[in-house]
Amino acid sequence: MEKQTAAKLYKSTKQSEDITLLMLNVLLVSKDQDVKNIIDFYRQIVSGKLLVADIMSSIELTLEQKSTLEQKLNQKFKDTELVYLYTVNAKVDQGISIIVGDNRIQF
Amino acid sequence: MDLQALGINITSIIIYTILFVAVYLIIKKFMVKPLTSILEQRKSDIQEGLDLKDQMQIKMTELDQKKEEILKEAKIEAKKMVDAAMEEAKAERKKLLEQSKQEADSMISKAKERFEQESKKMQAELDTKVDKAARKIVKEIYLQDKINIDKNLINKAINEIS
Repeated sequence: MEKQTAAKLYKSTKQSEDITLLMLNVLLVSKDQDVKNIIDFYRQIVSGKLLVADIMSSIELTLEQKSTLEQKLNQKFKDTELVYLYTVNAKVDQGISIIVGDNRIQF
Repeated sequence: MDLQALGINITSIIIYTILFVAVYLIIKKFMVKPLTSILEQRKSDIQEGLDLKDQMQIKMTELDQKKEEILKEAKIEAKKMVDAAMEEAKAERKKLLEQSKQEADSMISKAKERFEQESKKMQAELDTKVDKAARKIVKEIYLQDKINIDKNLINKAINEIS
């Protein structure tokens, strides 16, 4: 859970969102989470030890699809641990967009 | 021939003649004249009566003619009045018919106008409903198609990751 929060914070930072709003969101989502862990994961993401796999799909992915996708991506980036962020956006072209770190996966 | 011998007395004859003439004159003066006068008077009265009767007859005929004329005039007048009344009734009937027709036309026209308005309104409502329903169906079909396409695309993309 903290990994996802850290990944979301990282993604928000990259999208140049309001820093105050980001901090407030951290406070909001960290009620039941360990902030220290969030910070650790955030540092790992920033240092490149953890890679954020930002998966945006036009429809909600099934558990089976997520599982297959994660297996394939883990295999592809077997040297690095991945943190998966799933979002649904109906406007996504080709049904799915996968960005791992700074690389967009081409199909 | 001796008249004496025959019993005829000249003197007596003369006397009888004179008496006869006298009696005749007396009768004539005192009986025949008044009687004649009375008869004349009676005749005159009868004539007057007859004349009056004739006059009355003429008057009656005139009156009958006048009566006939009056009746004829009255009939003509009555016919004129009846004709006028008939004409007036016809005119009134025609006027009423025209008025009724105008009212009926007006009512029909209003009913048509209202029907057209209602029809247009209903058509517009129907069009809107049909349009909305068609849009909804198209949207649903589109979304379903898109979901199916996206599902296929996603499956294909996941399978292509190596």
